[in-house]
Amino acid sequence: MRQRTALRLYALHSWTGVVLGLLVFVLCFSGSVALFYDELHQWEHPEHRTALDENDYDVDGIVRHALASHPAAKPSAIYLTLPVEAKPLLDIRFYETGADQRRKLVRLHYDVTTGRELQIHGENLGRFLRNLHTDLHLPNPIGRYLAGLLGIVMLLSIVSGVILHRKILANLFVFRVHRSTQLKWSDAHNVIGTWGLPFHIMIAFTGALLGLSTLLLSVLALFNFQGDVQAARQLLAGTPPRAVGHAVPMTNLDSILDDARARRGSRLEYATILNWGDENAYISVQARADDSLDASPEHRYWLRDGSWDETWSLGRSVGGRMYAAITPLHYATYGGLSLKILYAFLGFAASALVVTGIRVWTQRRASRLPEHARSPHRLLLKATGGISAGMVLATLCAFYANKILPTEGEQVFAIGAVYFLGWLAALVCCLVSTDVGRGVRLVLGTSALLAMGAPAVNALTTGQGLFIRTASTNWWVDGADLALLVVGLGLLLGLYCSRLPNSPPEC
Amino acid sequence: MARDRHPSPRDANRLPTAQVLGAVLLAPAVGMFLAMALAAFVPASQENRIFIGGLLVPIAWVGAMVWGVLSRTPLRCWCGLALVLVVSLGVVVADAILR
Repeated sequence: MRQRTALRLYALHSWTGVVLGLLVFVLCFSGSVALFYDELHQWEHPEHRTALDENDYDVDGIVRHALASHPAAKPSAIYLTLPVEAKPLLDIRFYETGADQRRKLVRLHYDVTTGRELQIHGENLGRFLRNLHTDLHLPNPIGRYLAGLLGIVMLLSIVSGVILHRKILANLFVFRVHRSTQLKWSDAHNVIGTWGLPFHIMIAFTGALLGLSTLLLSVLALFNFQGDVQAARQLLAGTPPRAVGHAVPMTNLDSILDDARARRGSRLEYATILNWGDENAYISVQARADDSLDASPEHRYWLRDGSWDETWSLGRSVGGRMYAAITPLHYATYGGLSLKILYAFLGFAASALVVTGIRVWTQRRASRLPEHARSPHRLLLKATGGISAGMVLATLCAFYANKILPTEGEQVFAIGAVYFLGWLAALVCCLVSTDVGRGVRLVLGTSALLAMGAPAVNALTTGQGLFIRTASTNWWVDGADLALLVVGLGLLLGLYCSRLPNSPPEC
Repeated sequence: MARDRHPSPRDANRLPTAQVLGAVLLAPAVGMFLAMALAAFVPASQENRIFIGGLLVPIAWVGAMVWGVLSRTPLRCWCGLALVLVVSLGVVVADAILR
């Protein structure tokens, strides 16, 4: 490669990372935690810690009860999130037109084993973390587009990095632990980037597509459907039947769900009911393909007589199959919990890649400058340390907020406030610290203690957990507690190891 | 020009502003339409073309950005990307009319 090209690629790689890297860090880190959205549900909601018997619940009765409790609502669509082992409750959503003619979302939650309605004040912790990843808590669709653009930025960074580091195979095994600190950071960046390369390419590519899908669909529809976005959307989702206005009794939903379960042999995830009570009432049941990248098929039935209409899948064509694989690939829904844990590790590695990259670039730049001109670099290094370590602390603060703050009212706002205050505190701590390493160690040390204390707080506030066994304690709660303990111990171990060489600050 | 042929280490972190601007501004449109133009050549159904076009967008977008930034001169960057954009747009429009 010519020197000019190499230097320009290096500059492109560096500046992309320095200018937008921290946003990519936020996406990667929050995404790694948000992967466990369902798995954290029972830890988050002690009132939902019940065992699920998939063959013994009454969805039909619950849906009819929900609609009877809102007689004014004549919803054209009812959305059901069906219970799964990690989240054993039925979630029903529909829109109701109020007296002021404004549409209001009605969201009801039921314990499927008892049929009792549950009071939930939002899915606070999980929802907060997931929205941070998908929308950066910005208004829709700006946040989603920004997340998609950051996927493109990540791809750009990966492409420039791969072309730049031509000795990819050699990089796999080079980690010079006994050399200078600068070299160790550089080796760490190369090793993490090289080992995680396929995953990073995949996650950036699928993330970019998921974030920009609405925009892409509009542009693609412009030429392929003469600008008719609805027609393009129907190509993806099929054409829904229209209500004809003849009221007929509805068939039992549970028999349909049983049939759908038998067709796929997999867990059912969502169902959408259209035109409830009408002759053209329709239910579309979506099954989760736990063991394949194949598109989750939708089994569609007529509700007037329970007859099966079709099994619709995005994967009918080659392009559709490729497109349908994007969501399972990005959210790791095709390989169980172990795959999610692997994804989380690789996601944290992608976050570490940003931090190590900024560190290497800053040190390299600063080393060429006289001491008095290094302040901006020092500030960037401190800010990077504060933002990255602060996000660990802030995430753990949110876990505490979920357990300690009152659950009445909109708790998600309070969790957000605690999250950002924790993040800000960590940032300030790193900025005012004389040595960036000391600030980061303090923040991560606090995070380690918080992580190890979280299971105890869970046990104390809910009366259930790793230390207190009750009939409703189950693997999901224990798993979350154990994961927090492991994170805490891992952080402590990392801090201990980082102290071993005790190298002096270079910047 | 001599500086361009033999860059000093000082240039290691310098990005050409005009090329970066060109790449940032034109690459999204180039990526979008180039992907659609490439998909137009895929002998498949309209449905498949949409899916494949969508999948090609990020690749074409990143490719256009890298190419733009690596361009030797601003003129080459802007004109090259604009040319690709116009040709792609032409292919897409022609495909939409002829189909």
